Amino acid sequence: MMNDDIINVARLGIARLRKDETVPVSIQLRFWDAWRRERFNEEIARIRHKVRGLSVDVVDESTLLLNLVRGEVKAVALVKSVDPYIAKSLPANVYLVVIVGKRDERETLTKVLHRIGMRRGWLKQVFIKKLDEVIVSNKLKFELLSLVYELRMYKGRIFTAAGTANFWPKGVESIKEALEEYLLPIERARGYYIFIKSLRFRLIKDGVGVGTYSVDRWGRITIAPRSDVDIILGILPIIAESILNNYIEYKLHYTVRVNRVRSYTTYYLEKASSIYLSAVDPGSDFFNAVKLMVGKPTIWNNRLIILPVEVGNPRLVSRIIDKQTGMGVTLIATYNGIRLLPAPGSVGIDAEMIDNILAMFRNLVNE
Amino acid sequence: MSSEIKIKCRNPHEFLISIIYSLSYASRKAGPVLHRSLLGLGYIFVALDIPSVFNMPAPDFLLVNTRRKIVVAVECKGDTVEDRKLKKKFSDPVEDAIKSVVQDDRNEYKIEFVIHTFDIFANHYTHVAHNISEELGKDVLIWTTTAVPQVMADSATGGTAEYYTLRKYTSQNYSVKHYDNELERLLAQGILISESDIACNPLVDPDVEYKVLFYELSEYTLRAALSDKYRGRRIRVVEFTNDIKRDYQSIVKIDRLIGVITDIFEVFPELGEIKRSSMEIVFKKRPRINEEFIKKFDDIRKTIINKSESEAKKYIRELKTRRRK
Repeated sequence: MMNDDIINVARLGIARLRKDETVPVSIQLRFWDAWRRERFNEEIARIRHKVRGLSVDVVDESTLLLNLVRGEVKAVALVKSVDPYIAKSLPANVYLVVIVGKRDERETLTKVLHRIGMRRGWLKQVFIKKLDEVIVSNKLKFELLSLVYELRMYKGRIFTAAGTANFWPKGVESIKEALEEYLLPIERARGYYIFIKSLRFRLIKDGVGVGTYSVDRWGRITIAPRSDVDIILGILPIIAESILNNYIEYKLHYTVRVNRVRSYTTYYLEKASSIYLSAVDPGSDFFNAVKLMVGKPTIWNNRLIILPVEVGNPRLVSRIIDKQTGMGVTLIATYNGIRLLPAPGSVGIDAEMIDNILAMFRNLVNE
Repeated sequence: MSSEIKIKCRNPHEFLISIIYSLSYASRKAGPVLHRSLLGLGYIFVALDIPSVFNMPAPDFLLVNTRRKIVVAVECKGDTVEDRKLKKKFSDPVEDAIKSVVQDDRNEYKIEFVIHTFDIFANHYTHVAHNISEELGKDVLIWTTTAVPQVMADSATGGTAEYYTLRKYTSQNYSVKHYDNELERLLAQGILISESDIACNPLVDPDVEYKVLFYELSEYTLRAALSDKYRGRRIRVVEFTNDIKRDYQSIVKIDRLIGVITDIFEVFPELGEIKRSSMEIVFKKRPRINEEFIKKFDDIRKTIINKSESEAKKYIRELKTRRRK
């Protein structure tokens, strides 16, 4: 991703749309499939009749402007195409969306974008749970204000959620501390795991508060009224890059390896042919726990068929087959973790199957 | 097997083929490849059945680069053999057969012959390659893979992993270059492949044992029976074997595959049945895959793989007779 480009698009967009500092702004990366883009005209004509006060202005080939005017209330969205490093290989175009307006109006415009087929990306939990570390590395102080989470539990093909809760930590310095001290005990006791939906935080630079922001699991950054825009735009490329990499992994079954040498950054695409899950607590206890689960032929949770191939010490190889799809992976366990490889004849490893395997080894491996 | 060799797969020959297979096998899903490997340079693993089509001995597989119009014919040798056994595989008729299988009507492709062996045998094969090139008038290159893996730091795990190195062999007496400079550079530097990234593929060996075929294909059939593509469908046996050949890049003869597939369906009727009159496979709509079946399935596969070849065949015959009764 061209970092300066994306920052400039966001900065100019906000400067152009926001007349008043008291109005919140949200920024998000979105993906628009070519076939949905071709149907834009007919879709938008239909939507315009349904959404009161909506007007759409096609500024140029790569820019859209959506206006929502309902009496005194106004909201505006700028949709601008950005070219990531892999643009030519992607099946969709990538857009940066800047929406200025109050919450309800922003939601309306977001729904319009969804209706025309502009899909949002997502952030992995492992990224969200370490967002504060990313921010701190940019020489800023992070103060967690609230954390919206869901308790989830895998049950076969689907997960069940035990409802959404909001958590206002007090005297907590990092997300990790909030999770470990307050939330993980709930997770362990009830067999659920914590799924973070959004984070609201305050940023402090050189001892001075610069503003309040929130980031959700869809990678949407919201800038609260009277908050500094430039500070959060410094973090935008990192979030955008993470979203883009997740999208590539999902759509193309490739993972992105990034090499950074001084100011040069190179990206390698590697076939997602191998996934490594490191043990939370490496050692023989971990290995024996894994051996108990996959060391004998069985069916886990009526979903994963387990066929051991080689059960030794300190190495165990098992074949895991998804009962619903027939997809197969080879699992190699050692004292340090678990490696997953597609079984011969299988094209890749399905994200849903990885989720199921993760659920099987919950609490034993890191995400 | 030599005691100096430490490998992952069932035998050295399968291991050497699997190393290249893991570095050059392109799945059906198209996508960008920028990774530094044989596949990254556009060399795709192709196991075309030259021996059965043209009735002549041929190298184990081809690496075909359609963009650069280069075919690398690779013969893997897990042990030392005399040059007279290899000459036929690198002969002119074989070169013509390769040209016809890659449909090189315009004579655009350059064909290179490679012997892939372990580093400990490199010296022996230098003499072999020298003799072949003198007699046939064509260069033969040597690629080597380390016989023993090297323990190195693994950035993914934070621990260590065992790596094998594939490189082109050169010495003071022997130095032949590839047409493709990038391939030459890549192989001169050496390609590292971690032990866990090597996908052992027994079906790339045309002479694979029956018991290994049964072991591997029974699992493939189980996966197929559960997949949306086959579940509840009726398909021709040949179509199924073609899928196997494509997915494994196998050069095992179709007749052998059909024989094993027929045995698998007779031993595990829970997956489906073969209609002998029309030679079709009817996959079950709702295959009964429960704990009991999985235990039986695993038990039969483990028993067969641990038996000798003749005992394994006898065991399957007994199982089939028991089922028919």
